Amino acid sequence: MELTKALYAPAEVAALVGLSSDTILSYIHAGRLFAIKLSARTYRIPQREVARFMGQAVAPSRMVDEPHGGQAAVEALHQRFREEERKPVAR
Amino acid sequence: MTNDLSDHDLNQRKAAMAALLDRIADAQMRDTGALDDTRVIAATANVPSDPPFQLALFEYIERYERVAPGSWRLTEYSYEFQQRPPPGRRAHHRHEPRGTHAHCVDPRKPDRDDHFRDVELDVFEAHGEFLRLYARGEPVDCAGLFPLARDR
Repeated sequence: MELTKALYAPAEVAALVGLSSDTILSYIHAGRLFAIKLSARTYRIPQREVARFMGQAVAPSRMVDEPHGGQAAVEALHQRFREEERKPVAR
Repeated sequence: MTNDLSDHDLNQRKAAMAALLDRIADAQMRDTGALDDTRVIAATANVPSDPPFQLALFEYIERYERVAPGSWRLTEYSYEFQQRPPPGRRAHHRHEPRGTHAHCVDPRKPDRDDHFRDVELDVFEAHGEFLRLYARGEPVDCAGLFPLARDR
């Protein structure tokens, strides 16, 4: 099943997987399903988490380790900061 | 904010940062300079958004200096949330010459990208704020922020 939204309400996830909203909320509260809490009773579940919950494959995150090159990485970071400082300030 | 970290602590922190973003997208984690005296940890994810946005960029960069063998001190950070298409932006930075400060760009006032007063934040605090901005799906709102004196 293709997931077309970026974020899902618990009731939407419940409909997708054939469970009740209360069950989905209990999974969220138990930490079994990751959700972004917007208020006491409002949650949004990212598409990636819904896909995982439904057993769909998700692309793995990538880890890159470069043991050397720290100074060059700092220079690149500082270049960005310098460009930011040069931006005109609106009045 | 962050005390000096051992190699082990920093590796755990790196894994935790990757896990934050892995919840919402296939993230990229880059660790550069572990054998140097200066080290940069960068975690990035482009996350799909619902209309009116297409994507959200989450980008967390931390610079560490080696203060003793196997011991690292956080010296600079850049925690960024950007809505795509631009220009919506919220960011927390610590770097010279301004020290700790924030950025905020309200898409309804796209020509303003001022530096705002900020308190020192941990990446996990910034991530919580950015997640809520992302999930609300509304334009970034800069109301209530105080510009740094130099920008007035």
